[in-house]
Amino acid sequence: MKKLIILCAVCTVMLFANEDYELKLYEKILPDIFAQTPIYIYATHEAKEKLQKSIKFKVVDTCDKRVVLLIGEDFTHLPIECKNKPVFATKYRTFRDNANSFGAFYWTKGRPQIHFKQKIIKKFHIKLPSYLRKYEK
Amino acid sequence: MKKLLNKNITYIFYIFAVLILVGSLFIFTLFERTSDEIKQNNLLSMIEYIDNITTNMSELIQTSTDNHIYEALKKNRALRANLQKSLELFVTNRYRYIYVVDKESQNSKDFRFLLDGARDNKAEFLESYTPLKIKKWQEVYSTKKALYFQNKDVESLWMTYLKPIVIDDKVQAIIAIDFSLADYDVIVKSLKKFSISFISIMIFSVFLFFVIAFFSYVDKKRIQKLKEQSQEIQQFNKTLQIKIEEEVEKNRQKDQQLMQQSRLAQMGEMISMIAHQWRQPLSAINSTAIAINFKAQLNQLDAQEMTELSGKISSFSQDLSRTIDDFGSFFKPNKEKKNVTYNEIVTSVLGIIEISLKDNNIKLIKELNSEVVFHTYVNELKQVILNLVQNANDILREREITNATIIIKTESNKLSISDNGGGISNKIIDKIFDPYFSTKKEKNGKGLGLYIGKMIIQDYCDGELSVKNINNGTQFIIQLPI
Repeated sequence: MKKLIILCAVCTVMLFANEDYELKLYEKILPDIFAQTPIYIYATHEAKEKLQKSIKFKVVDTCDKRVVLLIGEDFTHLPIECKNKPVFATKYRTFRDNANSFGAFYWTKGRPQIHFKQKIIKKFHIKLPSYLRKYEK
Repeated sequence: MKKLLNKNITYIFYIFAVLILVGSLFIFTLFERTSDEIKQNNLLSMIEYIDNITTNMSELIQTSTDNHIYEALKKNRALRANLQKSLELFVTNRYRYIYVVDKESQNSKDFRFLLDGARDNKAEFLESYTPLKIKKWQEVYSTKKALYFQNKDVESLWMTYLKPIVIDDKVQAIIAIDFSLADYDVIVKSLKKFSISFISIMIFSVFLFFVIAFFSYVDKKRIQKLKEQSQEIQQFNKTLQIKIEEEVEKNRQKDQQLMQQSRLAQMGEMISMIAHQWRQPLSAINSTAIAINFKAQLNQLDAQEMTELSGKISSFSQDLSRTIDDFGSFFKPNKEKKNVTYNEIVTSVLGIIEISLKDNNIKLIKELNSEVVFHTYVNELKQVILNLVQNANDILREREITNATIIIKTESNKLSISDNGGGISNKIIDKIFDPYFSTKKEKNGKGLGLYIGKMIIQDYCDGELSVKNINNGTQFIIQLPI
């Protein structure tokens, strides 16, 4: 019982630590990539919860002109006005399959993965800061 | 012996303290070494087991893919699924992630998934993968040797084991296993508890060492101080002893002086006694000489009468000579003790003073019942008794007592001299044995007679001299040890 409680506590801390890690990462790289704050974001459910905690982001429910990028796992059913917005994926498959996905951040085997697609970055005229170029493919 | 024991106890304390410290250090070092060995052996045992698993996996993959891993897996989805099922079999809480990755080319930085043993969130075939501590992964490629490392940055309870699949001296892929260190961690934690206990004991030992050392030091200081104080006391005692000896010598000299003074004073009194003693024989000699002269002038002195008269003169002269001898011996202090009875002493003393008493019309009563022989200083004892009788004589004359009487009584070891001279005032009776205390100042009393008398009886003869008032008089009592 004691071990179970300790394990739960460790997992909880790690879970929050990862979330914190993710949010801090977004707060660091997205303003550097898009050179503005706050950044208006259209996000799927999971990402929305995290991003709403930051003052650097404005998470909106509709894709209006202010929206700079989309963040999330699955964008198969997007509103029409969001179709041409750059996508930052939180899942490998979305990163691989979505034509507008210029980058991604997700966890694989307990390890953080960050990737950018050179081709899509060019398409949206995004300028990556130098410290992120090593993740470009 | 006690000093030696104290010194040894201090050394035993020191040795005990050092033994505690050294023993604790030794046990702690031994424990730490054993603890490291246990941890190392446990880890190596786990690694060995994982190495065996990965070796089997490697053989399975190589056999299944006919040594063309990437190509075979790319072509054959079913083979991929089968192999992944095989990897899945090993996935447990302890072996969390089991997967196979490779690099697109030997120079490529990134890795890609070939197989994943995960039951859910399975990585895609050829999914890009950027592991943490990527240099370790690249090291496996370059050295072609397995290695393991802890992922502290991700999940500290897990470790990664990387096994290269080497075909034709080339690393074709890496089998990666992320395994739990929970069991290892339990052992480490248990050992850490022991370690903390040992450290606590160590700290306590060190504390104990310092406490013992401190108390030994304090005790040593205390003993040293005691020693110094003892030496001071010894030195003081020596000085005191010398001073006492000096003072005793001074007192002795003073007493001798006093005794000498007393003797001289008594001698003065005794000259009058000699005069009394000599008066009768001298008168008799004179009478005899006149008789001889008278008869010679009348031519009536015949030879027989001459012999008779000259014999008388000779007898009287011998009396005079004996008197001188008695006085002479009286003032000669004894250096040795001699055997004597009270009767002998009293007879000797009365031989000197009895005539003087008769002349003063003082009645002398003798009740001499003691036959005890004492071993004592005879002349000194005579001097005391003579002094006491002379004092009685003086007081009876001074107070003009009618029917004046002196009683000398001996019984066993007790000799008493009593008079009916009216006694001593209670105001001064406690002072009469003090030096220079006298009631006869008008008659040149020195106040030394009773002081010397008490000193002789107590210090020389080991006896007692006491005084008390009796009916209309005073009684002095001498008691000598038998």
